[in-house]
This record gives sequence, C-alpha cells and structure tokens, in this order.
Amino acid sequence: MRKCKITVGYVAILLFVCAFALICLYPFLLVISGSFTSNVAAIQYGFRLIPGEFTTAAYKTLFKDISSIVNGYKVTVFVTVVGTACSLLINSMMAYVLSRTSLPGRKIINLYVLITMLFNGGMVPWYIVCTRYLHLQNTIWALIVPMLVNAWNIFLIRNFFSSISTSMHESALLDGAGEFTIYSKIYAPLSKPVIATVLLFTALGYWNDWWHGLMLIEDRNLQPLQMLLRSVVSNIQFLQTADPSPEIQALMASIPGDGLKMALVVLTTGPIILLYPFVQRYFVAGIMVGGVKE
Amino acid sequence: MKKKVRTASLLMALILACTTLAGCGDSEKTDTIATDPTVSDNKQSTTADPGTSAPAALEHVTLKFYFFDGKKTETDQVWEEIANYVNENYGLNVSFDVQFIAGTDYKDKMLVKAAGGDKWDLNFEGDWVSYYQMINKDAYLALDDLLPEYAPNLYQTYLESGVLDAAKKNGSIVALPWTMRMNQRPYFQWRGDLAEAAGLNIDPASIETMDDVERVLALLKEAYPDLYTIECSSLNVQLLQENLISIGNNFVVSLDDPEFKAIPVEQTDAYRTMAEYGEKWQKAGYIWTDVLTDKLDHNQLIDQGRLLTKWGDRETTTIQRSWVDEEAYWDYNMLYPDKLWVNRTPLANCLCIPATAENPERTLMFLELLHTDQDLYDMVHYGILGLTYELDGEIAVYPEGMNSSNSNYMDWGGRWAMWDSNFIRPTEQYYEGYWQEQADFADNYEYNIISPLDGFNFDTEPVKTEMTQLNQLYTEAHKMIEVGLAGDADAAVDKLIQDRKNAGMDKVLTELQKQIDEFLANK
Repeated sequence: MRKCKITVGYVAILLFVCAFALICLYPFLLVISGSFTSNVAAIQYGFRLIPGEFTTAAYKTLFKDISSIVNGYKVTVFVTVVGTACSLLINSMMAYVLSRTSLPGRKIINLYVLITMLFNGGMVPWYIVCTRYLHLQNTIWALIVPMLVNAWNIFLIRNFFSSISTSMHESALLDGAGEFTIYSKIYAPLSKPVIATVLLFTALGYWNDWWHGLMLIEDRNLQPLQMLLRSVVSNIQFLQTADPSPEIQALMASIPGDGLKMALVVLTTGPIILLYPFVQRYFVAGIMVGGVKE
Repeated sequence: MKKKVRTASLLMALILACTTLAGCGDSEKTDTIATDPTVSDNKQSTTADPGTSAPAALEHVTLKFYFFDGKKTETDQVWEEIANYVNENYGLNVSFDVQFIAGTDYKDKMLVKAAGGDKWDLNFEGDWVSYYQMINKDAYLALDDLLPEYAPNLYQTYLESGVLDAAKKNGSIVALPWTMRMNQRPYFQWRGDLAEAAGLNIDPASIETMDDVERVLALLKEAYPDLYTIECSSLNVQLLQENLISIGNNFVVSLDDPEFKAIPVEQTDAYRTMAEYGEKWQKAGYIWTDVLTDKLDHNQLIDQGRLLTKWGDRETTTIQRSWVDEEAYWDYNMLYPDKLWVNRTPLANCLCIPATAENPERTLMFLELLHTDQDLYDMVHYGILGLTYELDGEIAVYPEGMNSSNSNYMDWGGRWAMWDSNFIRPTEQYYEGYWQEQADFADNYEYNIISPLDGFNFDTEPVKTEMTQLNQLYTEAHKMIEVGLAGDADAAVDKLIQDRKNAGMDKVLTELQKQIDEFLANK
C-alpha cells in the first residue's frame, strides 16, 4: 500500500485550496445571512456572516404568497427536468450524426449549425415564430421548446464523439447493430463526462430562464420561479437607468428591502446549487475532452 | 447496407436540423416594428351607448389590458369584481384579462408585441416608456371618431383641459392622456434630520443656486465624511438656469429663441457648466469615485441613510416618503425660482389602444364609466374595501399588516394614467390636498409655462443610423462627464461635441429642425 507523503508544499497547496474555497463560499453565506438580517440591522451594521439582528421576516413576507412560490417551483422543476432530458437527447443525437464522417453533406449541416451560433433572426421574427406558427404562447412548452437545441452543446458532444475510435463503430456495425443502437448503447455510455457537462449547462439554463416566461407566458400558473426575482430586478434596473418619473420613484417603496431580495435569491437559486456535487467529477473532463479533437 | 445507413443518417440529421435549429438562435432586442395596417380595420361594430344601452345589445368580450410593474396578488379577483360591477350596473358585458410587465421589460415586450401583431385592448404608456417608439410605428389606433362617440364625457374633459394637442400624431388622437397638472421644476433635497443632528444650520429657503447647493454639499461632507454626499451633477438645473428645455434625444431649444432652433445639448453653456461641476465635485469627494462601478442601488442608499442628497422636483420632494428610519426627513428647496420651466406633459402617463385592438369601443365605454362613477373608480384604483384597502375617513389606507412592499392590490403600477382629480383619494403617500396643490402651482406660479413643443416627437426614422451612433456616443460620454470621471471637463465636452459632429450631427439637426418647423406650422 502506497503511503501518502505529507510535505510542506502539499500542505501549502491544501491551505491555498481551502482558502480559495472559503472565498468562493463567502458570497453565498453572506446572501443566506443577509436574508435573515433585519433592515434596521443591515443599515446599522451592514451585512455580516452572522446577522446583526436575526429575523425571519423576509421569509414570512415571501411565504405570504406561498402559492405562487410553490407553483413557480413546480413549473421550474418540470421545465428543468423535461427540458434537460429532451435537450440532451436531441443535442446528443444531432452530435452523433454530425460526428459520422460518412454522412453525406456533413460539412453543410455543420455550417448550418454553426451559423446559428453567429447569427439569429432577431427578436421579432423569433416572437412571431413562437406565437403564430408554433403557438407556444401560454403553454408550458414555451419554456422548453425554444431552448431545446443549442449549437454550442452539439459541437461539444460532437467533438467528444469524434474522439471515440471509429473501430468501435465499425465492429458494432459488423455485429449487426443499427445507428441508434450504436448511439445509445456505445457512444452515449462512453461519453458520460461530456453528457454530464452538457446536462449541467442545460439544467442551469432552464432553471435560470426567465426570458421565455416574460415573453411568452401570461398565465400566472405557468410562470417560472425566476420571474419572481426578475420583476424585482427589472424595476430596480428601470429606476437606475431611466430618468425616473415621480410615479416610478413612488414605486421605490414597493421594492423589497435587501433582506427580502436575498431571501428571494436563496429560494430561487438555492436548489440548483445541489446539482453541482453530482456532476462535478465529470465536469472538468467533459470540458477538456470535448474541446479538443485529435 | 452501407447505403441504408447513410440514408438514415442523412435523414436523421436533416429532420433534426430543420425542425429544431430554426428556433434555437438567441433572441436579440430590436426596435423593428412591422405592424400590419390591415388589422386596424378589424373592429367590432356596435351602436351601444355607454350607460344607457340595453345589455342584450352587447356581445360578451374579454378586454385585455397591460399595465406597468408586477402583478399584485388580488388583482384578478378585483378585476372580476369590476367586471361584475360594470356588467350588472351598465350592461357592459365584459370580462377583464389584466396583465403586468415590470420595469425595463415593459418597453421591450410592448414593442415586440406590437411588431408581432398581437391583439390586446389597452395599455399603459408614457413619454418615459415606449410612447414615441410606438406611435412612430403607427402601433396605436387613431381615436378621433371613437372617442367622442363612446366616451363623450371623457372627451369633453380632454377638450376643456386642452391636453389632446399633445396626444396627437399627424393630427390624429393616438393617446388618452392623464389630466393631472403639475410642474417638475428642479429642486435640491438633503437629509434634514442628519443635517440637524450634525448641528448644521441650513435654512432651506436660502438654497436657490448652485453655489448654495455646493455650500450644503461641503457642510454635509465635512459632517459625514464616510457617507455618500451626492450621486452626480445636474444637467436639468443648468438647463433651467439658461432658459433651455429638453425636447428629447439629447437636444434642447431655448425659450428665448422665437424660432426654437434645436441645439445639441452638449453644445450649450449649460452642459459645459454641468461638466465643470461634475469634475469639481468629484475632486472634492462629494461624488464618490466608484459611483459608476459599485452597482449600488442609490434609492436603497437613500433609504439606508447612506446617501445624503438628491436632485428632485416639486412632485417627488413633496410626496410623503416611507423611510426605514422613522426620524428621517428631507429638507428641500426650489432652485432658481425666477427662471422659466415647462409644466409636465400630459403624455407623462397615458393610455393607448393598439391598432390591433378588437374592442376599442368597449374599452372606451369602460373608460367613460371610470370617468363618471366614483365607486368604479375606487374599485379600479383601490380594489375591494376590506380586502385590499380600508378607508380612514376619505383616505385610502392599506389593510392591517400591509404596506407598499407587500400590498395585495393598492398602489399597482400604471394606475397613474387613469388618475382623475375629481375622484382620487388621498393616500399615505399623497396626502389630502396634494394634487390640488400641484395643479395650483402648475397653473399659477408665474415662471411656469406650457411647453411650446408639447406633443412634438422627433421621428428619427429618416436618420436612424446616425441617431443610433449619436445616442451611443452621448450615453457613453455623458455618464462619465456628469460624475466628473471624464478627466478635464472642458476637454471631455469638446471631444463629445467633435465626436457627435463626426457621427452625422449636421444631418440629424437638419432633419430635426425640419420636423420642429412643420410641427409649429401645423399647430
């Protein structure tokens, strides 16, 4: 059995990494602490890791409208789970096809995918497509369909697939496997790092999305969780950027205090952080391997 | 076999590409509007007269309204009650679908909805929201025929108050402006309680000029060196001093010039003086160095007592602000009281009916009722008595346990456009007699005037490329100049003037002047 040698350098690195981790953790802890700090204490002492005056008032205020928070959670969880699953399936299938060198017109299709990363039709045509042709307005699919395909993710997975030896593909073909079997039984299991990475990107994208809720959803029961936070942020932005009219300045009073904002942040972003530990071990490998093509 | 595989792969790729990639590009904000002119003709025919018609004469319709801010929790219930009220008492036979869009998203979404040809019946507007962009794209319905027919009393009020001139585009009424009267003369305000606590003897009545303001800043800075003193210098105050009024898009005209020649604001002495104050106050530490980068919410800073002063106007200084610290209060005074300043435009808050609306008649009938029925007015503005508001005498107050930040209906955004001085109730924010005071001041103060260019809107379409560049140059430079972070003020202003000239200022100026002359000629 190999003995672990503890050297000064090793300890220094450990200390450095621990310190760095603490620095990264600090803002999160501050937000959580801030959500339990009273407005008066925040003014007097500022925000600290241990609240100057502990209060759950912010959460009590938020939970007064518990139904919209619960509903927002339901919508966001559904959209994140279904959207991520569908998106992963579609992107990886597309990536598999594009990774096949035998595909006729491969270069043109690659270019077509690439173009969507560089250009888009603009917001109005996008809106018209979503509302008049796809009839997504006020349906849960408005939060899922527009983000299903992502060219960046396709290329990431495609590059990973391309790095898998072609002899595997050939031997599977000789054994009588079809393309879908090869994709699902061989390529996908071999690509866990990149799949986990794309899963994280996609899940985060769906969880944090408010834009599609804003543009395409008016039914309150279908509003995602992030819209709760967005309406507050949007009002603050308006006050900061425009020359606010007196009426808008009067709205200032309706903007929640810092404690409430932080409680909102905890409620809306907290759960997705839990996703990181599960995919972390694949994460670095996924980025690196997908980014390089031999 | 190999051919089959190839064909299957190709088919798979093509299906995926064609069905899904088409919608995957990121959306990008744009001002492009392409309304369909034919839809404005798609109107419901009805001959009903509001308030007198037989209920059976009207088919049931759902009116869809858009307002500003977030949606309060009891909004749907309140508007259901409102529908019941107007249906039972006036046979209007409507239901309401009331939607809200908050902050910066309001303008973007309304522009996209109009461009996408969406149908709705009424929306909140204002010269500070998207009014000018929307009317430049003909997104709003001309109401010249419908307004007198379906809202005669409201129309009469408009005629008597003379606000409709401002609400016209090419001679047609395209907005339903508010009828509140006020003047937003520049004020300077500072934390009176903190000044008093520091033993500073500042008589508000003595603060009338920039020199006076500077004196207050120096005293406050000395007393509270660790707090933020002021966020920027003020262009408005300098414009006031020079008898200039803003006409939007960073242009001004002089009230002393009978021809109203447009001037790029950076080419005025007022702008240069503003820049000099910015530089001076930055060096003195009155404006904090990282004011542009710290991302602090200045309103929160005021609430927290960390920002000591504010540029204000007559409206905002006199509103009763709900402070976190109950001892806090503003001291304030009007600056340059003997200089001319224009009354606030009727377009500050207004309602518009989109060109795609399917029920403009019914919407106008509803607004007519709102203008003539106090009970309906109370329901729309304050909600349901006992549930969303209480009456303390005549004052509408929050139910117990509620305030502005957790109100379930009261103080919803966008109601301003429907304010009616005959019916409006005092609230905790707008005290009894507030609106009458504002109107009296606007009407009677000898240095208040109606803008000669009220309702003028620069249609930037013929010079949109140049305007985009000019605005970008101005925005980038101005934010640095007004806080004194652009280095030498004179050099920064000279550079801005030259940059904007190089970007096509002459062409824009010619077009702007042409439109001003036409507006004045048609007035």
